[in-house]
Amino acid sequence: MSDRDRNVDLEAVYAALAEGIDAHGPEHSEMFLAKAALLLAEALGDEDRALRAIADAQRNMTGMRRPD
Amino acid sequence: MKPHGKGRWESLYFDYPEFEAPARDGLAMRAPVTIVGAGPIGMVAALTLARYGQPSVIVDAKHTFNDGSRAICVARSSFTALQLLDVLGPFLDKSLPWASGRSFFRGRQILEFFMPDSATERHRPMYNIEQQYIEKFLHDGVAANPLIDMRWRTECTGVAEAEDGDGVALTLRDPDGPYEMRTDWLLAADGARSPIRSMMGLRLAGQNFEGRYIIADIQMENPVPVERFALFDPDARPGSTVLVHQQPDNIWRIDYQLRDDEDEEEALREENIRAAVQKVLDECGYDAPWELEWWSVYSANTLLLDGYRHGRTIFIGDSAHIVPIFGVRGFNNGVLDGVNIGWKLAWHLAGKAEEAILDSYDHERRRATLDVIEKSEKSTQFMTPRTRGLAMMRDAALSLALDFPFASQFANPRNMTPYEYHDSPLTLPDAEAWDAGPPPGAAAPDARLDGAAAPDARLDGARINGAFLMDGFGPGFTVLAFGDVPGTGLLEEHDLATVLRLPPEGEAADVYGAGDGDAVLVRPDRFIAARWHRANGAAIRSAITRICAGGLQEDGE
Repeated sequence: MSDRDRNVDLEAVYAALAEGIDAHGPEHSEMFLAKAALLLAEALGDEDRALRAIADAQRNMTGMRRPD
Repeated sequence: MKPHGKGRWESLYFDYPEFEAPARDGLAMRAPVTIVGAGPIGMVAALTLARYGQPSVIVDAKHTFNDGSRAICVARSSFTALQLLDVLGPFLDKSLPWASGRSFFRGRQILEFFMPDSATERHRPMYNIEQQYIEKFLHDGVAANPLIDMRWRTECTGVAEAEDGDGVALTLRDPDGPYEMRTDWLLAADGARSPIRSMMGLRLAGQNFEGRYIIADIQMENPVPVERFALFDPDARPGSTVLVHQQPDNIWRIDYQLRDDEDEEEALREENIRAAVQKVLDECGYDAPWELEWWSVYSANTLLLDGYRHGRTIFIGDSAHIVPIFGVRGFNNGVLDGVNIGWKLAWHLAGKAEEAILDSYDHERRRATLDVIEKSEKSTQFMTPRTRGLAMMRDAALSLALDFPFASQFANPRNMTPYEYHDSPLTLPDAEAWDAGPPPGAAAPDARLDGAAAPDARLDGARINGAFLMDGFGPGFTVLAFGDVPGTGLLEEHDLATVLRLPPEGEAADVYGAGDGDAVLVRPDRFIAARWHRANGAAIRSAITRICAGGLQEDGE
């Protein structure tokens, strides 16, 4: 049941996203990340979890202070 | 607009007739129904009233049809209406049926879509035809109909509910000067800039989208299959969306978005139109010579009136609502307005329905517009993204669609089936569960009675041999009685409905999800009002009575 039980090497995903951002530069990184998000949501196959992830990603966007 | 040296009424393919005002002598100064506006929707309303024996007067300030091809996509629902009005023949002969389209992103195909179609339907999902022909064919029906008093060159300059309470007082003006007229009912079909709406102090409410589009028609011999092209971010116009449609008489519609930084006046100059069109044709790989016919500009607005009925004045078509053009719903939605108010007003004028039935026009057609607006806002946001975020996600989806079919669905035009009147006061919800078939409130589907249509005739509806179910529908209410339904003779004796007695098995039964003893009640405008298992004539009669009283469902108030 828990996602942590699944075999997700987050280190590799982290590195791949960083490489993609570096490869596409400031001009195209946004598009790259938007495409990655749509592909991940499609692979996830769960609208609620995808929307929750998108909401979670918007927390703590400025500095390190908690929003609440 | 027209190329340099061409007059407004000079066309490569259409001869505009010249209409005169009627002689004032002997002109009726009182009418049960007056329709202002001889556009397609006004004429559909007049033809619907006449279909049910009710006379009307149409007035229009113009001396000929609207210029330019304008609304070119006619949906199946409109063909059903034109069939009801007995004017379908010339439309079938002239128009180009189509059912598919392709979308491209930066020159690469990302989607081929097929509109829902079925061999059980006589008509195809969509037909392309220039609006001048739509108006001409409707007008041929109007001119031949003794119940319709068509007054060209006659402007409506004043409208007021008569002080003595006796109908609506109109001030009309023709070349001989002004005159007064009374009408019991007024249908405002006077278009997007409706003078009647202004005179009554009413305003459309809604959103003005930023997107501006140029539509340009050219004539070009280019024998390829009829389909719709959508070009997203093409090399011909980076950052813009382009649509390409084929019309009869070798006319092609090139429809392209202006970027925010483009000056409208500059874009509308003839040499710039020509250059833009040539680039699009180059990108499509069309190298035939062409001539420029006509062009215009529009923006993607969604606007509607708060109420479609104001006392004895009822708004139909663009005077009531404006929707974005690429939804192909302005004309088609308007046709359903005209037929909807037409039969209800005719039933009321004939003493067969209470005035309350007219309020169901507002209920049904305003909700239909709101549904259109919701759907076309999605299309609009995709075609003309309004924010940086929407533009980013649109491009992300299109870019993904080059490799992943799931992402191409964003570029698929939303479904174009008519809005269903599920919560209308005229719709009786199912009392018992049905496993299949269209529910009450939906448009009635067609079916082949003999199953004899050849598969390759699907795109050639005019020439399909064999009878279709809808050919047998009455002009008024129709009852589809499957197998043994007792008591239906009484519906015919009282002239309440046409009864079609159908086998409990076969294509019609399949399409309607019906079995032995079931019945479906279809309204004059060919929407389903109710359906029953173990039906009987008395229950059907009671439903018709309550529809004509203006409501089947209890209002929650």
